[in-house]
Amino acid sequence: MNDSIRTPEMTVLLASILTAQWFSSTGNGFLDACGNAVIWAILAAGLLLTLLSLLLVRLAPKRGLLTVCQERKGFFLFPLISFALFSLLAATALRDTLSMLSTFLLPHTPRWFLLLMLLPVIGLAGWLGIASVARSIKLVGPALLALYAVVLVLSVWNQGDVYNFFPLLGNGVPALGKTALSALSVTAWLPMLWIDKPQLEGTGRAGMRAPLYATAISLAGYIAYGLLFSGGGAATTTFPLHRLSAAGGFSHSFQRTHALFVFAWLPVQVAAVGAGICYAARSLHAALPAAPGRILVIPPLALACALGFRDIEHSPMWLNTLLQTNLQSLLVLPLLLPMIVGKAAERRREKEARHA
Amino acid sequence: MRKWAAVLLMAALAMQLTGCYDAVDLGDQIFAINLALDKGETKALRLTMQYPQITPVGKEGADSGGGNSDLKKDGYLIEQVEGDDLSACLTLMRMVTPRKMDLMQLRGIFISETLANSRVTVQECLSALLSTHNARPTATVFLTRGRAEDVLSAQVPLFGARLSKSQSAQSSQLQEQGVITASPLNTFYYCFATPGCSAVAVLTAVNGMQYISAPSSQGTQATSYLAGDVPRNTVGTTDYCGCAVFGDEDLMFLDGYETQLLNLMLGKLRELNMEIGGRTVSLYFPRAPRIKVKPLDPDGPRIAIRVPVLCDVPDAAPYTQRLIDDLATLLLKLQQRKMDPVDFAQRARVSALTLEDWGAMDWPALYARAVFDISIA
Repeated sequence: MNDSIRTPEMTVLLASILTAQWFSSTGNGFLDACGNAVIWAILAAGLLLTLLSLLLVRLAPKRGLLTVCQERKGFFLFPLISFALFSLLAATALRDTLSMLSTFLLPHTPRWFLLLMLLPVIGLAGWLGIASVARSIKLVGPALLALYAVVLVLSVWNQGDVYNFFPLLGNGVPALGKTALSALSVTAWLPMLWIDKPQLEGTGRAGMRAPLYATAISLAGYIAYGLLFSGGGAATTTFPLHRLSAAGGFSHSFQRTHALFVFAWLPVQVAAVGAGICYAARSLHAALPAAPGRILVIPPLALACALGFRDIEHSPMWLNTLLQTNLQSLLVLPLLLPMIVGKAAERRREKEARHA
Repeated sequence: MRKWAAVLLMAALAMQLTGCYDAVDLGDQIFAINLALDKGETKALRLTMQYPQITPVGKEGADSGGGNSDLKKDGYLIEQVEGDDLSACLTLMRMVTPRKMDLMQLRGIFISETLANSRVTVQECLSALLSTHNARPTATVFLTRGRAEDVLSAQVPLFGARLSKSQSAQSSQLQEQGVITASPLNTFYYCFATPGCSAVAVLTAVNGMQYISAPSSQGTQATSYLAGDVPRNTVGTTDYCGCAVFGDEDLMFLDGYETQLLNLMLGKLRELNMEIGGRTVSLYFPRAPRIKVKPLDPDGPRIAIRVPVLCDVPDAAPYTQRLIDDLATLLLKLQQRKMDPVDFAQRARVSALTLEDWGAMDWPALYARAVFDISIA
């Protein structure tokens, strides 16, 4: 299991995951709430997230969140909370991936078969470790970004209408505020930085750049969407990036947009699932250090598959609630306690070392 | 070694994403090229669909019910069903043509004038087409004078063997001349479903060829005809000329010349032939007109339009003045019928900060008393 992740890879991985979160599962909710004024909500959330990320990275102990929990008596609960958090994030990302494949590429394929196809990939991602996942997404990242830019430009180049953004504030500041808060729920992924702080040469750099890149990429997408569709212009807002590619100029050049859309989006979604499983496994290992690390990939993988298998329409209310990122981000709050305790102990040790 | 095995395994599994599980043989599919919606005789809706007849190379196409009838013409089949709504019609259609139906190749959606008066039905049909039945979002929406099925039956390839190619070529030419509008399904549906927004469809009709001997009523310009009234006798029997503008409760036809003026306002017309006193002059429009809407102007709501015009004759003043007069006439006509196909509302929204402010502004009332200020740049 290779967990020796480096700063550039962490930056790309986190940026990809945040973008996926803002543009796939929650995107239609943002558009329904704000219309094309969603760009302000994303901008505000992105800048706030950057500040929050920087602040929390500075608060994180140098030894890493999980190491602090392992060293302190009674702190075994916090790795378990981290395990639950990342398993739920992986389940949400997996559900989005299955929905995307089922809606656009393989509508007649049973959902269990789609899961079976993805299982080796996500299982391997967890098995090989977060460094392998991050390196893979960093490798294909530039190509995906170029493809994304091509889709955006071709979709709007001769059809974009800047007047679609008026009235500028859409449903008003309160709606924008609520949407920005909802978008901030992606803080659920920030503990990745706190866990891997010892290995990253510049955790602050990753913590600052990743949200900024994600904001820029998501903003570009929503601006293109707004240029093409006035408020409520698309028949449906689900998977806005796909609606953009299917209805705009891109569909004149490339008639079959589904496969290309999935090709560009699938690696990002699978990276999110893989990252969730890797960090869940490492959290579980911190709680059960005696158990072999690789075997502990199985529980979060099984949990993610069990929770993420059903689509939204066929899931019970409690499951849909559990797989909402808004709720999952609340699990980050208890993790602040070992962070504060670890940081305080670190400061104390440094003081003693200086006096000695 | 294990990593390479893992990579090979992933590649092998990724190949399954090509969708062989869902593969559908070409012979098991049917691709609709055109679709017509009319009021039914026994049910609420009559659906007519036109499909290409795909036959093996070198073999004659097998007769499949219809023989030499109108249901089979020039390599295209026509099927017709009636139902209470579009989904019921499509279900019945799947029964009579037991193949997987693909609407992603749709080129034209023809709606009859009679059916267009039933806004709810039209909206439901279009919504179902876009959302449920995955119709091609860029299919063109036509309004037919008379029965839509008659216009659809008259669709034959004019250039070459493929109807879709022929229709696309014809549409491009006519749009370049400006006598028809570009009316893709997704844009049409959005405007149709949005209160205060005026959807525009291409006007079409079957031409009986009677006007070549006894000309129909015509406006002042060479293109001032409605579809169906063009004095001609040519190969194709279908006229595409003019457009139909849908208000909230109203429907209005614009002839070919008025449609050219509308396209000019929308920035889609580059050249216009203007005739005065038997002399025709070409006017060129290098850019789209600049439109400024001031809904809250102290002197009352104002819509200022500056049209850039180039003319290669020295005495262009009468022609440009005529252009201004005709534009004003058209805009006043649309204003009186409370229609806004140019979408001045879009520009007026700049004055509002939120949707609530926009609602409070009451744009329909402002538009009704707006003053147009048209000038040549």
